Amino acid sequence: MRKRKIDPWILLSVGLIALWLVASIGNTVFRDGKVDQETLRYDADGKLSVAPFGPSMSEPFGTDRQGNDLFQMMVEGAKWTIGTGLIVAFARVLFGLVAGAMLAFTNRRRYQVVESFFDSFTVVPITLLSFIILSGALIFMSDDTPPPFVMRAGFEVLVLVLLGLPTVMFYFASEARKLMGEEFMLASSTMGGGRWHQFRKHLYPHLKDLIGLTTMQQFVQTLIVLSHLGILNLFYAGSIIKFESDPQVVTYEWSGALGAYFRGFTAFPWIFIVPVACFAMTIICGNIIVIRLQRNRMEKVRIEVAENESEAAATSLEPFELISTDRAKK
Amino acid sequence: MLLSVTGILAIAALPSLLRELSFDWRSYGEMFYHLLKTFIGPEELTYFREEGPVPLIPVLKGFIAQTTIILVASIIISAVLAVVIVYIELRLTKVRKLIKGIQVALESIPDIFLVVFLQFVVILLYQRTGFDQIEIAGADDRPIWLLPIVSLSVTTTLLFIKWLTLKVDHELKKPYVELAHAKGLLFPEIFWRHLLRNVSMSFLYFLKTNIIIIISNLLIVEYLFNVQGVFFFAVTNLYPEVVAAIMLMLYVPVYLFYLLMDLIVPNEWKGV
Repeated sequence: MRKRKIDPWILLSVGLIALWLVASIGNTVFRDGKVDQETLRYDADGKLSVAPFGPSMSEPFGTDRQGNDLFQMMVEGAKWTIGTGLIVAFARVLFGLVAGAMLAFTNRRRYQVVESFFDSFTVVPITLLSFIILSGALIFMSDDTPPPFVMRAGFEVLVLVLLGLPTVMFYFASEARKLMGEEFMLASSTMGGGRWHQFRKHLYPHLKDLIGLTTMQQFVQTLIVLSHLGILNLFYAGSIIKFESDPQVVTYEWSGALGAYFRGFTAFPWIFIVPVACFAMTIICGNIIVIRLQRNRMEKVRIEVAENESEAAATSLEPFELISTDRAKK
Repeated sequence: MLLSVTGILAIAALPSLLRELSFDWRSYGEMFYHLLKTFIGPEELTYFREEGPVPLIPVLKGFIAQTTIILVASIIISAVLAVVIVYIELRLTKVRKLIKGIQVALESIPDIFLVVFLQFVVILLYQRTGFDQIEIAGADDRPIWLLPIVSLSVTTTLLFIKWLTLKVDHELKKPYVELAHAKGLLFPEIFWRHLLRNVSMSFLYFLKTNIIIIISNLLIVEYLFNVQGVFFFAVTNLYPEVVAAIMLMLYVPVYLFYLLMDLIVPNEWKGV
């Protein structure tokens, strides 16, 4: 076996995402999460001008209409958006794996019952579902005091995790069921391997490869849902709507910026493009990781198949034998 | 079937479970029972407006038409486009890299950006040339077709291309292609007559598992373009009854379609 090399593309993408996180947390620790604000400014001729200002040397991304430095805003917000994406993705995969494995061991009838109960998740978009559930709980009018931030954020994460869970669960369950048709599973249960033993020793090593891939897919998907929710004016950890004004952003996270700046796009394009670019960049990083992981996996399968082929060719008795079923995932 | 409908109703009733971040099982139960009664039982389906309850179905009709047309048109356009592009990729190996690059770039751009960008382009076009035949936002009496279909088609085409390339690569290795080559058939004929036919069946299965992605995009496209479609209606009228009705309307046709397909299509075709 060759020594496993780390894919440079994956390294780069992970590095970029990590950079956002580190910068963002650093901003909170060292600068109290402050974002520079400048509403009025004298330009070179000594004339007074009002925010928003376009991109310039001191503010590479320009400012929004309140004069907030967009670059600093994006840095400050990164930890919320990316952090949520990561937490939701990890939680979905973790619980999905456990639930999927449990589901794989139940009998066929019960499996079908559960499957058809959740079948609607294959058609109804998560954006719609989460919007329905969250808008009831997370949009606050200014006259009542909203619950603390931690609760609101936690609630949103919980809902996002739960809504994504069925898909992940059934994915793992079907993968596990496929494996259970294999001979070594039959052998294991004949020799008295319990369910936990079977899962840990035989299923998990096979599913392990899928975990990283699924996590990144879920990460990208969560980011997309967050951006959709932002456009629908449902910001992370809730929107607080003051009378006769636009909903306000509580943290500086990206999806809120997306929703808040969307309407002014034609007047000040750069304001809207900044959060979109941030989202796009992170999603691209996620997608690159997914693509590379998939490719590496395919190559691994191909090598295995080739090895099996040469082995099989040496040992096979019949002139024609099915060597491998197609295991490459789409 | 009945179970999945129950599942939908259970989800639609969820907002009443979570009042002000705390769980309210009683109101959830009531809402669930109410939904069961209206959808399965005899009670008439209504939703609330300022004037009072209004029957939902007649109101929804126009919205459904819009959504369906946009969805179906985009899927058809995307399927055709995807086939053509994949064919070009296979024939002209020189441009293959270029197309692949554009594909990857487009794939990563959030759909929101695409929509806003299209609107921006149309406005610019108007400002420069005075050409105002393209609507950028819909209203009650002015339906909007072109831009929603275009922007939905872009993302959908990418999705289809991705799948089709894999599938075609896989298919090209099969013995019948080799046989056809050996018999002297030309590549265009093999592709258009034999390969495509074999792929078409599994395309429908692919669509079943991926239609959720298309619908998610449609949701955001409708909202951004003010399309008077069901999702726009759902987002602006957030009542459990409305939501449940719309979810059912999405789910039931898809379910029935695939059920019918399962029954009608002979088993030999499915194995592809």
